[in-house]
Amino acid sequence: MLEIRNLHAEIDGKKILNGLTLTVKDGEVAAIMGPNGSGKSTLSYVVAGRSDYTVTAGEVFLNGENILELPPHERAARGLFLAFQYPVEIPGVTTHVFLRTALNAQRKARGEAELKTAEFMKLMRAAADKLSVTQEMLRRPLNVGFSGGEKKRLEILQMTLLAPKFGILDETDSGLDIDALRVVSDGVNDLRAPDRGFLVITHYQRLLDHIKPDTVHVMAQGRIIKTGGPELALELEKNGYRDFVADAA
Amino acid sequence: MAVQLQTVRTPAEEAILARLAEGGRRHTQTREKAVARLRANGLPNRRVEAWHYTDLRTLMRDAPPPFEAFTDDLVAQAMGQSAALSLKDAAHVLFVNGRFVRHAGALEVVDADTGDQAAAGDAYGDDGAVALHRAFAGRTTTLRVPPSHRSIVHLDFREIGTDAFSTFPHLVIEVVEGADVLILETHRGPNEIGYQTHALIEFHVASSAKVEHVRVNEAGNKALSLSTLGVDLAARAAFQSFSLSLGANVARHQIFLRSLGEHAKIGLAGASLLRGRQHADTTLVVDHTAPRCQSREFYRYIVDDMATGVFQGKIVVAPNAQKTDGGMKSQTILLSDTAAMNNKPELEIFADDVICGHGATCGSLNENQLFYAHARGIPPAEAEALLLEAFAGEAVDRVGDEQIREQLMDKVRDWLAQRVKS
Amino acid sequence: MAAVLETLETVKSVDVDAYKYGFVTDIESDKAPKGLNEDIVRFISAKKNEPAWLTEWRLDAYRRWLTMTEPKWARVDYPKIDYQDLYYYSAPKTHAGPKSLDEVDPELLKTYEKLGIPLREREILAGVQGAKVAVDAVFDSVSVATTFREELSKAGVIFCPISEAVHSHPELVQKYLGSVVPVTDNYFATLNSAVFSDGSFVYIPPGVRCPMELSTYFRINEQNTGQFERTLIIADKGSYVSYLEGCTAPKRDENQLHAAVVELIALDDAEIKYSTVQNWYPGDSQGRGGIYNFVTKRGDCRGDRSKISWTQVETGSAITWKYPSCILRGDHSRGEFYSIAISNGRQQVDSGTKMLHLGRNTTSRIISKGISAGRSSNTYRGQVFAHRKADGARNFTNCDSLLIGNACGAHTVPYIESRNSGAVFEHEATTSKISEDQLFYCMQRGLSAEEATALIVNGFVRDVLQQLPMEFAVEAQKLIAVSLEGSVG
Repeated sequence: MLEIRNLHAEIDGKKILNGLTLTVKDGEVAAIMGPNGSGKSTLSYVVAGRSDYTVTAGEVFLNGENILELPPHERAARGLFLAFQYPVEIPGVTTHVFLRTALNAQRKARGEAELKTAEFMKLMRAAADKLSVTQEMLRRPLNVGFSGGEKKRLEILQMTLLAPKFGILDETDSGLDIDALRVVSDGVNDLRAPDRGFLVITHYQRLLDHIKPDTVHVMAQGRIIKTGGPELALELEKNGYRDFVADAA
Repeated sequence: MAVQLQTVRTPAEEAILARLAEGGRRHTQTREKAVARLRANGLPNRRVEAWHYTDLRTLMRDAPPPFEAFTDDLVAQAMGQSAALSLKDAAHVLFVNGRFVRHAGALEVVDADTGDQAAAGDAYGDDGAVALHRAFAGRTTTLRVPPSHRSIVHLDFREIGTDAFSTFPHLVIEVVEGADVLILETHRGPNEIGYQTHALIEFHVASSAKVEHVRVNEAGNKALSLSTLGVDLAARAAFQSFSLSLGANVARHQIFLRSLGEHAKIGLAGASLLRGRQHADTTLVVDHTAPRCQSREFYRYIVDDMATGVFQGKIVVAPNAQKTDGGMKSQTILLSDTAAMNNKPELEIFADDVICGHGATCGSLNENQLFYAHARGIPPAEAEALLLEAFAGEAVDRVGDEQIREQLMDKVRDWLAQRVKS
Repeated sequence: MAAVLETLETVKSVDVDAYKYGFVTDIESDKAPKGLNEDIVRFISAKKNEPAWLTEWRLDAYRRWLTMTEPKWARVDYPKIDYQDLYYYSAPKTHAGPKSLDEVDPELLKTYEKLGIPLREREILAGVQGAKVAVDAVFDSVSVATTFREELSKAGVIFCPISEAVHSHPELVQKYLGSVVPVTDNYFATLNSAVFSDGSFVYIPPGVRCPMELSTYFRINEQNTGQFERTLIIADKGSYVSYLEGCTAPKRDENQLHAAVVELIALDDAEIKYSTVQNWYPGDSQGRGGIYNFVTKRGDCRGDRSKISWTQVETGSAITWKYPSCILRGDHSRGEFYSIAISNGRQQVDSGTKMLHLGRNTTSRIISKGISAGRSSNTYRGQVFAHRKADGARNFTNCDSLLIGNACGAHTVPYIESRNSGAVFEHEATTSKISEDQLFYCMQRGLSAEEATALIVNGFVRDVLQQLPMEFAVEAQKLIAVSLEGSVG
């Protein structure tokens, strides 16, 4: 369960989040929609612990524990996963080496035994096949020279392997064609579980046709201004954000 | 136990020291220091890292006397000659044999026998060519570029005479806050005379001011031309300088540039076309001392016959100059098996949050391109000229002013045409 | 920027004192008195029972050395070395040379264990059959154990201490010694020529592919003993050899001078691959007590189509002054230089290469990866030269520097000199830091800042690591992580 209470955050002295409050229960898929500049990506970065954002007030609880004081990797080890809008390239580090390193680091942090190479390869192959990630891609340096769709598929592959308690998908649909969108969505849907929550950040309704949310939140000017069911997303798609944003202002 | 090697002075060094011993020059601290340097170190030579490729102990055979015989006749004669480049609407500032003669146009010019007063902590006081200049320089010409509308200035250096001589012009150019100026600096002199020019031009560019500087060196074929540009940039200043090196037997153009305020923008570029036994050196030190500045350096050399090109470019980033963005490129085409190129691009980085890089290439004309041109019916000599013009042209393109750019390209084409003829 | 601040905090607390290999082995030494003069040079020569020509060669070098001065052009700064306050000879007293490993001092074997020498190589030292790496262990100036000599000699390969080769193969030593690095080459090489202690000698006969990787572990062990290793490798026509060199050293309070000379000669169609992992004591957190490493390494591609490849992983020493170079004399010969240089704490590195293209259609490739952290200074200095006759010469150079923390410096000083229009040189260099984006991404996936840095750095140096023989690559990768320990939060 992810619980965000009255979160205020800024970067370079500029306020982005203004008292955002939001709860996503286990097993729930919540969508956040909002216009550009409403602070959606900031929210994901702040929850994951990016150090260039300063939290000036508020709390973020993951399964009852306030995680704001933890460095990013400890949040990850506690089961928080962020699928990046722009996955980062790391030259020279092959994708499968990166995946194994990350998985074993998390297992170690949780006091679990590290996976043997053979065990890991088996896991990775199974996940990769499902997401149409080729072995050749896994041998290439992480995200280097990957297409937008390949990068996003790789994010979901990582999420599958790391099996987090809570997943945040930041504009995962951006840059995807319709086939890739389906592969990615199927990957996410496969991970839906009673003990796992998701926060799906998106600009468009399109993604929500594939990943059906339980709740939809509208975000503007750094906070949630309206909450509803899946119908809210359709309404937004039809009428745009303008009315909501005008109300909020 | 180590044996100390006693260096024997060259004839040029002997001549310089003898002349300094004659006295008759104003005593300033700057000069005393420069003279002491000269006495201790002699001329800059290959043992000095910054002068490794341009050894004045071998390249400077003698030191002709400073030019003193200024007459009205001389000025009239100089004015009768054509300028290396013409520029419409420019304030014309004429120098004959290194001395300021006259100026026309709206510009504040002060010419005084103040001696060279070095600014405290300038970045080039240790340089051998600057020491030589300061030991002899007498007058200082100060130009003040006003704010408001764009100023256009032509610094027209003409050398005339039949006997060898030396000149030591010293200019200080003050560009006030918010000013915008285009400065064309041309050098032209007689062939077959071993005259020597030692120039020092110091730019003080105030915040948000904008300078475009274009230098054309068409010194005579026996001349030695040493030129130093000292540039200090305040915050948000923009400084662009382009240099076309065609003339002189031995030429060295050095730029010592410092960004003293944030967000300064620097663009240095040049093309050097060398033939015969010419030796031409471009040496840059771009010192980023303030954060968030950007610099780009782009130099191209075409070296023919037995000529030698030298490019030394150093990008320095001081510890606090975070977010510096520095990029340097130098490229050379060697046209003959007896031509030589020495290339030393250097990075000296003390700040971690920077993006700096340099690239250097050296080779001959691209065979595929040549073949393609031949296959289209262009004869070899013309095909070469075409590709070389394009190669030099990419550097000349860095010049913002169209009027000047066109004239520079004409000079490039002239140079190439001579090559086809011979 | 908080991560950067964190990095700074940790850099301040860098615990380079916790040098992993800092220990001292207690073996009695047979020392020459401190200082250097003609008598000491004669003493060294006499101790080794050298022929007259070599004694004269040493004395000639010594006299030349007296007229020379220490080079000053490198970007390194260290207190003046008192050459009269060093020992120039020390040898384990035990025997003239152990006949089997049982005779080897158990202290020495223990030392190898502590050094983490791969088990397989320890097995070789213990005389286990079937392993394939030959170790000529140089222990404090004198080789005390050489294995696999027989198998190598079956192939006609000569692999022995150079002091022995002087007697067993004088014609080869006399012909090639000093033929790549002349006696008067530079201050440190000349000093080495006068007082060189010992080192490896390798000769691969024509057409022979050396049946195993040759490996030597150097140790500096005796207080105040300058180490002056001398290595000579000759690959005759059409032969191949891969030579590995790795070093660690015990902790010391006083600076230790190391001035080695390595000469490689490749004749027609021969290939030499020389790999180094160097992890000498870098000094404490204040920079005290580390090794001064002034090395002259040079390969001569004397024959047509010959090839010499240098690969180095430099993580140790207080001062590194090292430019493994190639003279590309033979037509179509090839030189390669792959380097990882990591500096942390107060280390100063000035390293690079020279590729001198003399022959036609010669090619060279330089890949240099420098990483500076802590308060260190890391300079790449490299020369590429094409002679007038070097038609068709090709060079590609890539030097990348990575900065970790803002108290260190990274410098790139290439000298690119072409005298030939048919030569094509390409050079590129970049300096950057590990981006916050990369760090955050890795940390989001569960890596600590330190693990993330090590991972990103390993990616940065991958092109070079791939050049190392497998077992060395693994070792080197670990070493990189250890070297950067404490450089990030």
